[in-house]
Amino acid sequence: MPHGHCYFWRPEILWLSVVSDAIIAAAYYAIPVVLFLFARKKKDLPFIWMFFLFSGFILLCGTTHIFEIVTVWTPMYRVLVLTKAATAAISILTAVLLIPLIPKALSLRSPAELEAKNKELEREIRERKRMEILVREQQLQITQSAKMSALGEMAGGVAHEINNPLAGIKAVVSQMQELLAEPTVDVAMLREMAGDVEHTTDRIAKIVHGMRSFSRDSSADAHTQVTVADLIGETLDLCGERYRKHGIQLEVSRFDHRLSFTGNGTQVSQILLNLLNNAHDAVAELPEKWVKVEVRDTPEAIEFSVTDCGKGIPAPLRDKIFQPFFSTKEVGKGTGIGLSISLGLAQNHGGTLYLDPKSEHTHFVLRLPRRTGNAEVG
Amino acid sequence: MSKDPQDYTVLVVDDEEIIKKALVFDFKRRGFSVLAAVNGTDALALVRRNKVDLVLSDIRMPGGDGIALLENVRSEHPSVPMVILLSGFSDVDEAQCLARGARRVFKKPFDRKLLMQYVCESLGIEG
Repeated sequence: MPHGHCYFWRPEILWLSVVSDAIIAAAYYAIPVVLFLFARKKKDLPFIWMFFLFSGFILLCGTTHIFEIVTVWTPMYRVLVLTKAATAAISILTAVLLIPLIPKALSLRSPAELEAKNKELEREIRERKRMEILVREQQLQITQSAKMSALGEMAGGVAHEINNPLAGIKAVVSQMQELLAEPTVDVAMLREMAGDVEHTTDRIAKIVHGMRSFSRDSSADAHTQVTVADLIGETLDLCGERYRKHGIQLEVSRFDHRLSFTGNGTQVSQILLNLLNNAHDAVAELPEKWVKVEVRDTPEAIEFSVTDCGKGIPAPLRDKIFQPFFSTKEVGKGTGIGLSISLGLAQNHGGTLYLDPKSEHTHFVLRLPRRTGNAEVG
Repeated sequence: MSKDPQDYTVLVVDDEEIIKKALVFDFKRRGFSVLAAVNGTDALALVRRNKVDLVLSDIRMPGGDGIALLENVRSEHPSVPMVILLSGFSDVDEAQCLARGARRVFKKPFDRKLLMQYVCESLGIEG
């Protein structure tokens, strides 16, 4: 029997019921659509499965109202009650699952709390950035002092290299004065002497230039095109005398003198000088003394290597030598920061500095990639 | 009768070209026979092959330093005086040079007139 009978088919009751059911059903169908759209927009929504349960529950509620309308004219009560049973099942499930969710939902941060937390994090980030700048400034200072210390090790040799030609210039100038005082001035001889003095002062100027460009703070310099031959020449000018003094044979392998790379020449020179200083100290007391500098050119990188005739570095120390303040030199002789700073400078060029463990001698390799345009200037 | 510098041979040893040249010039002008070398090893060979009357040598030189030369000359030719030209940045100082038998040490940069005067006096030649 259609449900309309219960309303005695009185239109005012029947239609009020039908229209009410239709509006309720429409509203119930609309709500899950809105929920779905909301959930889709808000990707990180917590407990999203609960939204699906709600949607299912409301959809079924709406469906029961549709069948309420149908049963006014058609007695499909079985379908109606089955829909109601399904609604009951899903509603009880939703209710049961909702209970344990409440404490979790309560623990979700409110926008105000999140705002406060964000501000705190921003403060922490600012503080950390400030510390990073401070650490970086200190690193630059340490790099500079390591460079000055490396230069200090060279100072005696450099002073000798300036003093020796200076003694020659002094003698020749005094001879020139005597020649000028003679009745017949030997112009040819004077010209030759003046040439010798000029040539020798050029050499002194070159040494001073090398020291000046090495000692100045180059950390802010932009990367430029550096000619490998010039770089090696200037570096050897600084330490060559120290090698000669101790009778250490310093050999430079043949390489293409047009070879160049993009980088900070002073920093690369600092790395090489540090390696050469270490090699010098390692072999100075050995009966056989030699150090070899090699340049290898590959399509990807330029490799500089410094090999000394020592027996290499024992395996347990290989990692430690690149750590700051680790030194195998006597107390007071090594600062222990040379290699760690050199490694940092190599990394500034996007390169590496490592000890070749396969070599029977102590063999350090500085590898600089061909393209360092993006590397940080440090 | 004063001695003639021509009868004396001075050996000048320095790897610094301008110093070697200046000393050779001075001693030749004064009338000495002059030999020159750029390291201790070459210098010792010259001392062994020639009659050398005085050696004037630098200390720090590649390929045989002045100290080894000093010691060899002292043991092989004890009567040949050796004058050392010291740069002042070596491991050895003036006292060590004198202890090893150097007759006199001149520090670079030296006064060439004083050096000449000393050499002449050492060889008994009037300045």
